[in-house]
Amino acid sequence: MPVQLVVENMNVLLDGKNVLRDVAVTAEAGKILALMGKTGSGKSTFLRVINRMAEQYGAEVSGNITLDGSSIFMMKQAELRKRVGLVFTEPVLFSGTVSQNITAGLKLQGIRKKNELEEAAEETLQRMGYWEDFKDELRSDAHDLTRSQAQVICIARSLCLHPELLLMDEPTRMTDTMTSIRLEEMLFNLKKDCTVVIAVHSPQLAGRIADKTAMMEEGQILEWGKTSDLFFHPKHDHTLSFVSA
Amino acid sequence: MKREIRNRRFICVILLLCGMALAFLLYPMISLAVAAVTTYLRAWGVLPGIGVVALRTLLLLVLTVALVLPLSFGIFRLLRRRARWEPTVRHSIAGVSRVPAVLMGFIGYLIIRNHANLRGRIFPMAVLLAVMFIPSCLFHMEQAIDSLPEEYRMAGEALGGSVNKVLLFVLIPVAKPELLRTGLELIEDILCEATALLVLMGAIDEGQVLSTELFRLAYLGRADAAVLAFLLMAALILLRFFTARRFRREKEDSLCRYNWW
Repeated sequence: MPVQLVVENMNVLLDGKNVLRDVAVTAEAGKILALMGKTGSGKSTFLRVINRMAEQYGAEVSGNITLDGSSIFMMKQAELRKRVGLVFTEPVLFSGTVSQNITAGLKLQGIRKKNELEEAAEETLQRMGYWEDFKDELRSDAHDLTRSQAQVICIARSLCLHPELLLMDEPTRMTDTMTSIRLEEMLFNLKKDCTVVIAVHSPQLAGRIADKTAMMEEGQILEWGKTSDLFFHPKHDHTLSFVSA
Repeated sequence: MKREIRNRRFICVILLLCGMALAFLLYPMISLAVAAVTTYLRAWGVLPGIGVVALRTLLLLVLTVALVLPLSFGIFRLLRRRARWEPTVRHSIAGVSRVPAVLMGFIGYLIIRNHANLRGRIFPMAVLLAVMFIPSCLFHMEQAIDSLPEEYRMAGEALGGSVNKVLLFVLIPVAKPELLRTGLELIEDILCEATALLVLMGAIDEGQVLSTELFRLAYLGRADAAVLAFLLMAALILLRFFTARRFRREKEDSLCRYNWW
């Protein structure tokens, strides 16, 4: 079931530098929130803070971050990451078959029964609308896939755990046009299952799929709100120049 | 699910204990078999003296390798899981692993020959040799795992896997070719250095058929033996230095390959 993510007064220090300052934003349950901004504006750091990956790499996080009212800092990291999936920009495939890659998360959670894992892989691909594309390749080596296919499998790997919140860091940057269009459609259909927070570098993508959009610049959220409001009535000059580009 | 995992751990512990018990049960039998073979070798006059030494050396090496690999892997997992792979531990292990075994052999010689009087007792000597090779093993394992890009670790951890599970199910399968190469290099290292060491210490040569107890002679004040021991050590240090350079270059190549992918 999708959850509501509320971030209030979030500050992140990394190597003594304040990389995120007074960030406050809400992703409503079952909606898509897009984080828009140029490279280095703090989009990826924001996503890594939400699933507590940033802490592991020396970031000091302060502020309130809640999932349906429960603080993420009170949850066990493994439990949180099962609820909050993260898809990276670069597709990283593990060694093994396509099917093994899709179910890697379940294996890490302790599920080893082969038929259970195969059923989960099929169910995930069907939910994503990619079953026909991969049904004959489930047993082939994952490293034979193209970069676009690899990214689809990485998304499937996250979705296989049935996350309540899915964080995506520019997932379509490495994919071809057709795959990007299909992934956008898939994200739209995913909203009933999970809330999505997506970092994007292109305003067009945010405009097409996001219910709400936040404009980020130098570790701060300049403004956020309904995507249509942000695009047609931006309050900040920087947002205007970004969306009109 | 938790119960299932606990059951599996329990089975693993039981299997490990059974394996150890079996090893202890089998060891006297293997020793007896080796004793019988050496008796026959002596009786038939096949390679008198040297044949016995070679057989005992072989047994000792097999035991050492069999002890080093699981012990090192266990310690490696423990250090990773407890997140204690901190700079101090890392530098200490790297430092000790770069010392050629022949230098450490002096310590081994003093323990085996002079103090603990382990000469001729194969199992305690194998344990001692295994302990001497563990830092080198840990160093190579860590190098192999660290040669993987950070993305693999992050992708595994983003799926909710613990450090230990990510290591076992994600990093080790990806690093398999590198680990296999490292493993083979290690076995080669252990075999070469331990053989030289054992011969130099005369630890397996009960009948003293080989007059190569270099350390002992140097220790007793023989100048030629001391010079020879010094030259041998210098040669091995140089060899280690060139091997380390080659390893570093190969590691850089493999990093390039992963980054390109």
